[in-house]
Amino acid sequence: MIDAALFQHTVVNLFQGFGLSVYIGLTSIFLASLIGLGLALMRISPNALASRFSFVYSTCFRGTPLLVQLFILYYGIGTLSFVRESPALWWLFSDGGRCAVLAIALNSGAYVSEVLRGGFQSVPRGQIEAAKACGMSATLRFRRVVFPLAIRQALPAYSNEIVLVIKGTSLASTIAVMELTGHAKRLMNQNYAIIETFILAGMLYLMINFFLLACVHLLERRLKH
Amino acid sequence: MLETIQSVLREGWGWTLLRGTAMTLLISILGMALGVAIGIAGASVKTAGARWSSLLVSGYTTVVRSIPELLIIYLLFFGSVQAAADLADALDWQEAMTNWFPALVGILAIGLIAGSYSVEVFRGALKAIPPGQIEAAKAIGMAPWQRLLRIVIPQMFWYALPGANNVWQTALKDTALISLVGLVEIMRAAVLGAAATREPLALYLMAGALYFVVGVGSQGVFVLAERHFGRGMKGH
Repeated sequence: MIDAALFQHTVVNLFQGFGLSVYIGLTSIFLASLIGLGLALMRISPNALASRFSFVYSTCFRGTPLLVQLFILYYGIGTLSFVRESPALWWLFSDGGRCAVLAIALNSGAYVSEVLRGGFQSVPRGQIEAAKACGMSATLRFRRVVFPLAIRQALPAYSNEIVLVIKGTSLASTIAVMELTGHAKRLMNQNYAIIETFILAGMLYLMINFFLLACVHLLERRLKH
Repeated sequence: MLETIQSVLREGWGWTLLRGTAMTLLISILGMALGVAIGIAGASVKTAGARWSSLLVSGYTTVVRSIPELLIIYLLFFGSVQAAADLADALDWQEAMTNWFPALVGILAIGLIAGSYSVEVFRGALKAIPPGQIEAAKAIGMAPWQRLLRIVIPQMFWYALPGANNVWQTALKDTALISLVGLVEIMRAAVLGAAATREPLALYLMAGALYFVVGVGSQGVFVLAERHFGRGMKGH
C-alpha cells in the first residue's frame, strides 16, 4: 500500500493544479457558450454569408484535433510579426493559460453551436407563429419563446460538451501550463507512484465532472416547471 | 503563407508528414478494432450478463469517459515504460522497443477510449434487432452460432455504423495525443518539422489539414459502407 508521506506529497501537488484546471475549465465553458450561441444564431439566420461562415467554422474546428488548434494558437500565431507588435494580441498569445482558454473555448464553441442549432430547429413553427400573431417583436419572441424552448431541448446534449471541455483542459499541460494533468505527469515521472497518482488525479477530474453535471441536471429540472 | 508551405515541402517535410499520416491511420485503425471488440464484449455483458458484471462495464465506461485521454495515455506509458525497457534489454530488442513501444501504448489507449464509447453504440445496435427474428431463427432450427453469424452480427454492424463513425472520428483526433509520448504520427512529424524549419504556423496548419482530409475521407467510407450493407434492410 502507498505510504503516508508519498500520499501527502501527491495530494498536495495535485491540488496545486486542481484550482487551475477548474479555472481554465469554467472560463472556457463560459466563453464557449457565448461563442456557440453566436455561431448557432448565425447558422439559422437568413443571411447566407453568416450561415456559411458558421458552417465552415464548425466543420474546421470539429474536424481537427484540439491539440493542433492549441499548437497553432500558441506556437503558430505567436510567430506572426503583427501579433508581436500589438500589445493586446501579444498579451493574449504570449501566455500559455490564456492561449489554452482561447483554444478550448474556440473548439468547444463549434460543438456547442451544433447542440444549440439542434435546439433552435426543434422549436415548433406554430409557437413562433403564435408569438407573431400576439404581436411580439423579434427580440421579445426570441427571449420569451425561442430561446427558453431551445435551451430545454439542448441541455442534455450540452452536458456532454461540458465533460469534453474539462477533459480538454488537460491539454494545457502540453504548453507548459501546470494544471492537474501537468502535475500528474511530473509526479509520474518523478516518484514512480504511477497508479496512485493516476487514481488521485482521475478522482479529481471525476469530481469536477460530476459536480458540473449535477448543476446542469438541477438546471434541467428547474426549467421543466 | 503559401510560399512558406512550398519551401517547407521542398525541404522534404511533406514526406515526413505523409509517413506520419500512415502511422496515424495504422494506430487509429488498430485502436478502433480493439475498441470495437471491447464495445461488443461490453454490450453483450450489459444485455445478457449478470448484474455485477454489467455494473463493472458501466463503471469502466463512466470512468474512462470522464477522465482526460491524456491522463490515460500517461498512465499506460509511464506505467509500463520501465517494464518494457527491462524486457527489451533482456531480449536485446532496444531498437524495436524505441520504435514500437509508443505505438503499442497508443493502440491500447485508443482501444480503451474508443471501447468505452462503443459499448453504448453496440448495446443500442443489439437492442435494435427485433426479437421476433431471433425467435424465428430458433424456430427453424438454427444453432446459436448460426443465429449469431447470420442474424445478429450482420444487422448489429449495420445499426452500429452511424455511432461507430462518431467514435472513429474521435479516435482519429485522439491519436494526436500519442505524439506526446513520442510516437511519430502526423502531430509529432509537425512538431519535428516546426523545430527544424522554424515555421510552426505552416507545419501545424498542414497537420490540421491532414487530420481534416483523413476525417472527411473516412466519413465518406462510412457513408458508402452504410449504403452497401444496408441493402435488404428495411427502409433501404
